[in-house]
Amino acid sequence: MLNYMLRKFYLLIFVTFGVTVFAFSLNYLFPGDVLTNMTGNQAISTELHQILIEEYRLDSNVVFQYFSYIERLVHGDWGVSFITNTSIFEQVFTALPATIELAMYALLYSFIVAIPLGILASNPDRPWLDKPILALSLIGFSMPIFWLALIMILVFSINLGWFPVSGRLSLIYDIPVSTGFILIDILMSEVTYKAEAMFDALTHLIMPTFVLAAYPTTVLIRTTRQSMHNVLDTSYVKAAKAKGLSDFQVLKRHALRNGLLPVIQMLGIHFGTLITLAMVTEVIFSWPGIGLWLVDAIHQRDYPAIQGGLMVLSGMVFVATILFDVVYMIFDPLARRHGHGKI
Amino acid sequence: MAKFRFFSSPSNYSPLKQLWSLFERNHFALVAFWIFIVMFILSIFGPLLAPYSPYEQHPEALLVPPAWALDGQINYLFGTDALGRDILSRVLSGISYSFGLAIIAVVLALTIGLFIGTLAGFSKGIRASALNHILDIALIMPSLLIAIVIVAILGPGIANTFWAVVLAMLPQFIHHVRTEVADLLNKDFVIAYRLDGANKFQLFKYALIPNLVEGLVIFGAMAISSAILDIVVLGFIGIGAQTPEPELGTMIADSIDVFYLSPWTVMLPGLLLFVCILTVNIVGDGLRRALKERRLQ
Amino acid sequence: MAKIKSLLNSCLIMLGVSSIAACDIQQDSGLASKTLLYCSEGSPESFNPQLVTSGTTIDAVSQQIYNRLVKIDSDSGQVVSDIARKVIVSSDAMRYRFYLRKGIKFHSTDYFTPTRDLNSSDILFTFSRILHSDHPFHEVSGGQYPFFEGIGLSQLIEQIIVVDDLTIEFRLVDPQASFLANMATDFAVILSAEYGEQLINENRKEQIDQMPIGSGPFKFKEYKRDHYIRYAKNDDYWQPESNLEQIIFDITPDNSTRLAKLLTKECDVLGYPSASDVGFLEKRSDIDIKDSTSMNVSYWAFNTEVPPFHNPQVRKALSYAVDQSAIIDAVYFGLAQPATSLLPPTSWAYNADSYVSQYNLEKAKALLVEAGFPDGFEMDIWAMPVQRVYNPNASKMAEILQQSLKELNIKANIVTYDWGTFRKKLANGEHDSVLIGWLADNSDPDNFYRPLLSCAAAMSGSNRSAWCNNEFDHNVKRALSTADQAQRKVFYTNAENVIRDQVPLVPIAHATRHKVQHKYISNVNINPYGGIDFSATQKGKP
Repeated sequence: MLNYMLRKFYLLIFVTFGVTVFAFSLNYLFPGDVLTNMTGNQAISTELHQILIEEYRLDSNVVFQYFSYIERLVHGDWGVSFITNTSIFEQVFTALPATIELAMYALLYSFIVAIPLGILASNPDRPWLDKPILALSLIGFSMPIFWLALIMILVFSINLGWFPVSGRLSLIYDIPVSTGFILIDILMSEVTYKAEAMFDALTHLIMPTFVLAAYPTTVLIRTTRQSMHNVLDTSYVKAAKAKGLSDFQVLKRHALRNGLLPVIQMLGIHFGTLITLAMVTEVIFSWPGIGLWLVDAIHQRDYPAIQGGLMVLSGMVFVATILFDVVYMIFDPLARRHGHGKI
Repeated sequence: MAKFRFFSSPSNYSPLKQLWSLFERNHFALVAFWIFIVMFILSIFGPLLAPYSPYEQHPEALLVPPAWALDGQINYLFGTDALGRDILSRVLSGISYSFGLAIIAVVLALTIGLFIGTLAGFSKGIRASALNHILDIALIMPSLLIAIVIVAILGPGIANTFWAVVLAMLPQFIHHVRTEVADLLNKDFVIAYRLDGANKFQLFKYALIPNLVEGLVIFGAMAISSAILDIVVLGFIGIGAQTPEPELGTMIADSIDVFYLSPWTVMLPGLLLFVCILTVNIVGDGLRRALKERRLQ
Repeated sequence: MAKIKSLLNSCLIMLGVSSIAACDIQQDSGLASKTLLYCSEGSPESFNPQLVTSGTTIDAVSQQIYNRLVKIDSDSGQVVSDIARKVIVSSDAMRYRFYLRKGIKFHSTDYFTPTRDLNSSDILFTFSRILHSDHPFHEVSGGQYPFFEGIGLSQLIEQIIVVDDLTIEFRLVDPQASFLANMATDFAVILSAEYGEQLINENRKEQIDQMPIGSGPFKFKEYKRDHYIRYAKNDDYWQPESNLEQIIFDITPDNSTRLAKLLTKECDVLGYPSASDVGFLEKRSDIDIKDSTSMNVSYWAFNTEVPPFHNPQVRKALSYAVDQSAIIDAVYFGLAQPATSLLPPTSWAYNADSYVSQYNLEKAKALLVEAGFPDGFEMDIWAMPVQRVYNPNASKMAEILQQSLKELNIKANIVTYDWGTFRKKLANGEHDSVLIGWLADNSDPDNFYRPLLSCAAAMSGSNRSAWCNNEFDHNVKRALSTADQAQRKVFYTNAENVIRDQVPLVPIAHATRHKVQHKYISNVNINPYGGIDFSATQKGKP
């Protein structure tokens, strides 16, 4: 166990190194002056230029430059945006919670919907359920996310007028930001219109959550169905049935726990895709998360912002993947035996 | 073996042929396959079939609904967009961009992946383990995110999108080929072939390729759908193909302005896109199932 | 809807929100019904209208935060009192004495608390900033005051005299009839001198234009670039208080999102619907769509310094090639009036029997033959790259002209650059002809003639025709120094006749400005000369 954790820790360090080297090299890969890309300052005077070169150690070799870069990263000095001239670090970490929040709700939703459906589809007593559920999941899997979102907007916002189309809280409500997670912020706030704001935030959440959840839901349905099939085929389940346990008891005591293990693993594998899909969802619903922010930055060629955004996004994907792996390991002792520190 | 057989006839077919005969039994997948072939042909000849140029504007016919609608016109079968461009013509060219380009990207990535992956499969020791680590990291990154990174560096445009998609898919192909090759190299028949004195090229051509092809076809088929998605999503968020290119994602993003007024400008390209991805997925799924069955035999 | 609400209630519980009280929808603070949401098309450049000319900034700032000495009544178009309760103009129209109201308070916010009421020193502070380059705030935020430079305020004002606490006098160099109208524009807002002093002491002078203090119906609360502006009600307003607790400018540059937000009630009012959406919105029963002919004109100007456009005959020939009705259909979707003169028909100086421009290619051909161009020539049409009230799509307009000119054997090339480069090259006179337009800043007809066609404007580059005509200039100048309206109208008609004769430009259309709002909103005023005004707005039950 300890050995396993150490391996993961080593991997985490390796990954952090990889991501920072990558982000650092972006300064050179992007068009334009390196110093401008690093600082975000577009009009560097000659005197300032000299000072900055020394401060950023651009006069020494790349290794020193890299360490100086890491030092600044740790201190939260990520440069400023070309467009707004405000700190990238601050912007990234105001936007990030919104993305995490959206992704979490989408995952939660897909769990609630997909696992029962997957179990139903795998039920050998109701074979007629299998095909429709599979077909549904195939359709969901093939639906381009932005198209789905546009259809939803057309039907539920424009025609029925049920849900708002953009943002995560109506501008009417002025909720002070403390955690960045809107529902928590509303609960913690001291405003008189808490209930209304809560209701409003929920109506804003529904469509983006549903749209984003489409992909993980379909993946989870298929995984659950497959792994339940496998588990129900095993001798221990057959033995339990032979002993006279009801279907529900078998499911509860034996099948579910073992059947859901691959689901956790699957989540880890698909978390990255979930985050990129979250970016698209954010763009469509003007959800003020890191994805929308990054896409805006790419449009405006705001290189310091692109660099910071990419670093945080990829870092988040890596960390989450490793975390899912650790969770999987905790539930499945067999997994610990698998050799090297592969993610 | 239960029964002695003098001629082991059925298994003499090549693996691909066996796969096909199993695939054929799945009618659903077969239909999807034929649609796939039609799409493929359209992606080559579609622009020739188009009644108008995809860029030509008809100022006298702005936002004409599709022909089956009440006030549609038969000369604009799918209607026109806000600048009076014929949607049918645009969509036909769009297939070559979004679907055809995705296939070319996958084939290219497969070829490169096959070579790098084979070389990596042959290598051992530190080099192999370093490659392993890098591949592991690259594999965690979803292909779309890698593509976004590459486009952010190269700048928007359809050519850059293409390269971004190729590069983004590469790690998974290399990884796939590498593990397969490493497995195969330990198989008895490969070792025997080696002992017969085959050089690396012969080994590659006669021992590895025939055994890799089947897996690669399936892997490639699955990759096409994600390649299509990557291309259209990049186009949609405005960093892929640029207007007025008739790329499906770009077209949809372009028409959002008039979406509520004239939904067909968004729905029709979207529907086509959906059909493309769905058929690719069904075909891929069918192939995978057929492979599973064949291995069970 | 009720169904969804109950559904949401259960959702809340499912999400494990412990305080069930949060699900109690009945408890209504009424904030939603006291908040006005306006979807605007862009971020303001500054919170001080003196520094800008863009309509976006004027809409967002002028009427909400500030007051002026006098203002224009949006119904009658007449100058009426605002901060000044009374104005006395000397008989020679060279001295304007303003008597200020008592008890007008500037905003108290968390960054400034006024200790005194508005008085003459604030007026002096405001205009000294614009006029005197040695004023501590003159150079702050760039030191450019484009509107006031355009009307030549610093050459016009001889002296500003503080008579007493509530009386101030402006002495002019020349008599000028449009002076009051200019003081009533959305640019001539009054700032607080006391706030200025505080900022000098704190050494944060540039804050005066970013965190504004005014005396208007709403005070500044929060601004997030490209996201929103939040204004709160000014509780100490000297006029009847607003019914609204707050107004929010939801900055949504994307046309379709703006429309979607209107339909889902995420905005109550929409400033600039795109012309193609207007027909769609008219069919909806829950939405009010009001149009007002705003004081604007789009025109095709010829560079009269470049041959063959130095020849009035050629210009006149080309004017016959303008198919106004085709342009109004395709470019404005029918939402404009064909222009018969530079002045829109809503102006008091408009002459009803102005000629109606005919589209007549035969006449055009004959004139071209007369001018010595039977075989035509090649020319450039510059089309402005941005969408404005007066011209939603200049390139499309240029394409239509291109088609007509082809009939005259004239090969027209459409030229466009990005907006900044475009204006610069235009001011350098690098064009043959240009499609552009004008949105009036005030009700005075002078605002159309002098900036667009006077000799002075030809020097400064805002006269896109580079046209200088003594007869025209003379009439415009006479009109300016005359106080009698009927007399002035005669001069302007004369000036208009010169234009008609010489054709330095061809007026094309006066676009209708649209304002779209939900039926439950009432009393939103759009001033034909500028910003949107929410001070009297009421919100009913959505």
